[in-house]
Parts: sequence; structure tokens; C-alpha cells
Amino acid sequence: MSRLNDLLARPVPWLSSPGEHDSIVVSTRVRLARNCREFAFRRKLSRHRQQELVHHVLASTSRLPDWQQAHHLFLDELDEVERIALVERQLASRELANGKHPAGLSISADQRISLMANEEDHVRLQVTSSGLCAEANLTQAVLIDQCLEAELGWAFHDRYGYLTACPTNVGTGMRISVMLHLPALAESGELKAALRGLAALHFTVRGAHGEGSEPTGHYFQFSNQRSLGMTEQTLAIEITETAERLVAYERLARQALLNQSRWRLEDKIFRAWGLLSQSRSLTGDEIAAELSWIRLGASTGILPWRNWSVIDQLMVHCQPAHLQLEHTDARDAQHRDRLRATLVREALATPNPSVN
Amino acid sequence: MVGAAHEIHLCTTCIQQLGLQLESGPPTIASILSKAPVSEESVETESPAIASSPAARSSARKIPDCPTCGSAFADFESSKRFGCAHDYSVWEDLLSPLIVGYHGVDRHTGRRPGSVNPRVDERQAKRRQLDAALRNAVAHEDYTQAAHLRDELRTLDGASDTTLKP
Repeated sequence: MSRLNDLLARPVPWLSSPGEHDSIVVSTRVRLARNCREFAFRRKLSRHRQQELVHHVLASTSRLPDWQQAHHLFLDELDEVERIALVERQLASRELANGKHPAGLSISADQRISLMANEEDHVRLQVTSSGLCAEANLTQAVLIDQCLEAELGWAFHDRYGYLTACPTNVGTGMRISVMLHLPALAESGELKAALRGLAALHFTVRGAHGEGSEPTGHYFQFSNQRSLGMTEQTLAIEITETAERLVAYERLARQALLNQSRWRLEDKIFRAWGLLSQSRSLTGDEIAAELSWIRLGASTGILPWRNWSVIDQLMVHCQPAHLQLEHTDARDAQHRDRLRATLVREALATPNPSVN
Repeated sequence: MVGAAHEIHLCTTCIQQLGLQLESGPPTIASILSKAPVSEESVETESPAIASSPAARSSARKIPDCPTCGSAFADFESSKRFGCAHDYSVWEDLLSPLIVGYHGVDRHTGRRPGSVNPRVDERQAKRRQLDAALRNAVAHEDYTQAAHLRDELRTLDGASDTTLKP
């Protein structure tokens, strides 16, 4: 029985395909980094002061308007598996979950907004939504920022802006990330060219699970590298326009594949279907890779089955910590691989939702 | 002797003279060592005379430590992490080249705490969303949807003949 049961029971809100853009844009996240004036940065804080900080921050978040149903968690009350489940839902970073420091996490009732206390910075606020919506997420983040600022007193410098433990985050303290599904660009070999343009714009590209992760399942996350010298709104607009350009490239690449080698595409998609609907053992990487084809199949209409919510939920609930928390027989990797395969076979047997 | 431990006992007077702060707990080894003479002789002493050599060394190096948290600039250089927000003020000009190197500029132009910030123009954001949806609809030859979106854009703009980009 986990403390997180009711949290885990809810579907991940920012996974709600197909959304717009032919399900190419999975989600957008806006993150703000802030520090409280009256505390030093973490490396100079005693453990006792860090605990004070965490309590101080969580006390403020518990007073946010409309946050009565929010979850407020002290990370040392959670075991390792529970922490990793939070990372799998992208509610907490790996740094927070793996760290030995006192830390806290506030999660809005709809799980779209989370606030980490005592990660690299005192406060890391993130707003995530499905689809491409940087400006809307920014608006929401700003409102919360303004509420918290009144209580917590942000460290700010006239020249350098909002101050952060690492100078790479100084200024706006903002990182906007967009997660994209780019199977056609990846398959056609044009992805490198498309992504090369991003570096010139000072955007970085990573695999779906952020820093240190490899791209699996054709998912890519790009975000701004620089956080100083632009307004927040300009950054949101630039990211949006860049994402739209990548969406256009992916659409063109899909069209080209359909026109020139539809059979090859169909083969990949139906092989994935075959593997997922028949397999008796599946690793996490296999699921990510094969579900990517299913997603493409559903999006292009090649696959008559397009139960989007099932696809999305499989992506999260087949991850290791989720499996361990939701099933008693998932203790080792072998059991999890078999469990995954069972869950996927059952899921793919679910018919399409009735029209409209 | 290299490798031997040096034990330093500091009275509160010396702590004050050395500019160490105890606000965040006992001073770190790094912050003390950065003020201590590098000589291989033992530095065990309680005499205030010792205060003059760290001070002399500091002024020779010319980079002050942060008086609030005790961080030395060398700490920041090796870890790339600050000790507290005040470091930015203490080392303001020193940091500029590094910040320009990463961000391209060294001046913040975005939101500020407290002031009446121009909120993200929701109407502008809505307009962009509708624009994108319209382009999408046209690309998919869904002209019914495109017409509907065009009407929404007109309502949003509030003008009777808005010229829309195709």
C-alpha cells in the first residue's frame, strides 16, 4: 500500500494524445527556478537549515489559492520505488529523487503542476500540459510565481535577474521544454539535419527523460539553453515557432514515407503490433520503441486501432517503479518484463473507443 | 610537512577578523583554508597575528570572499555553483565574462519581482493558437473548420475586415 496510491491511480494529465499537430507534439513544460533571499544555496546550508527551508516552502505552497486538494510530500517519507514513480510521471527530477538532501514536493490536484523544494535551487516550479502551449503554461507559472514571491521573497539582482545556484539558470530562471514524437524524421535520416538548426538557436535536444537519457522510441525533448537576456514571453514564442517548424518537417517526412515507401512503413507498424500483441516478455526499451510505431500507425491511419489513452497510459504504467507499486509480482526485472507483456496484450485487446 | 594535518583553533575575534560567518553553521574547510597561509609550517596559534597573513593573501589575490556565506571565488570556479545569492553582488563584474560566454549577454530583460509586470497577453496567445489551428486546418483541407477558425479570429480581433494571412 503506497502513500502515492491515489496519485498513481490518476492518468498522467499531460499525456492525452492525439491532441493537435497529429500527435507529433506530446507535451510542453515551463519551469521556473527561484531561491529565497533569507537562505544560502544548498551547498552552504546545514542539514537543519535545509529542513527548515523545505518546511518553509511547503507551508507556502499549501496556502496557494485553489491548492486545497494538492499533495504535499516530504521525500524522506517515501521509499526509493515511490520516488522513482514520481520521476516516471515527470513530477520530480532524478536529482531530487536520488538526492540525500531534505526535499519536498508539492503537486497540484490535476498533477499538471509540481513544485520541488530544495533541489539544486530552493524552488523549481514546473507546469506541464499536453500539446504545444508554452504561453498558456507560462501564464499559469507566472501567477503561482507571483503568489509565492510575496511569501518567500525571491533572490533577485538588478543586472543578473532571478538568482540561481548555477549561473546557467540565472535571469528568467526559465526553461521551456517541448517533447516531440519524430519517427518519420528519425527513420528517413533527416532528423540530424533538423536538429542541427536547433543548436544554432541555442536550444538543446535530449531524449524523453531529460538529462543523461538516450532518445528511445523516437521521442525528443528540446529546450532553451539560455535563460538570460530575453523576456519570458519572447522565449515562449521562439520555442513555439521552433516546435511548429519541427512539426512541419515531421509531417513532410511522414508524407514522403507514405508516398515513396508506404509498404516499409506499414511493415514496421504491423511488426510492432505483432510483437506487442503476442510477446510474452517485453523490456522497457522494447515497449518504448514498439509503442512509437503504434502511435505513428494510429496517427497516420495505417493502424485501424487507435485507442490513444491506452497507448499513453502504457507508456507510464509499464515503467519499472509503476509496475512495482501497482503489482505485487514485479519485484525483479524478469517478472516485470513478463508482466509488461501481459499488460500490453490485454491493452491492445481493448477495442477503439466508440466514435465521439 | 605535506600531508600532515594542520589544526587551527580560532577564537571569536579571529573569526570576525577573518570575515568568516557562522550563520550557516561552522565554516567549511575550504573557506578556512582559502584564508590560511600555504606555508608548510604548522599554523597552530591563537594569536591575532595570524589574521594579518590571510588578509594579506586576500588582498594580494584581490578577489574577496562572500561575507555572507564565506564562499571563495575559487570554490565557485571549481564547482560552478554559488554559495548564496549575495555572491552575485560580491563578484558582479568578475562574473560578467562567464555569463556572457554562456548566455550571450549579461543583463536581465525579463520579469522582475514586485513590479506590475506585463502579463503574458492572453489575447495574443489565443490569437497565435487560432492562427496555428487555422494553418493546420488548411493543410488538412478541412475548409469547414478553417472557416470556423477564421470567424473566431475575426471576433477576437474585433474588427470587421481583418486581413488574415493565408
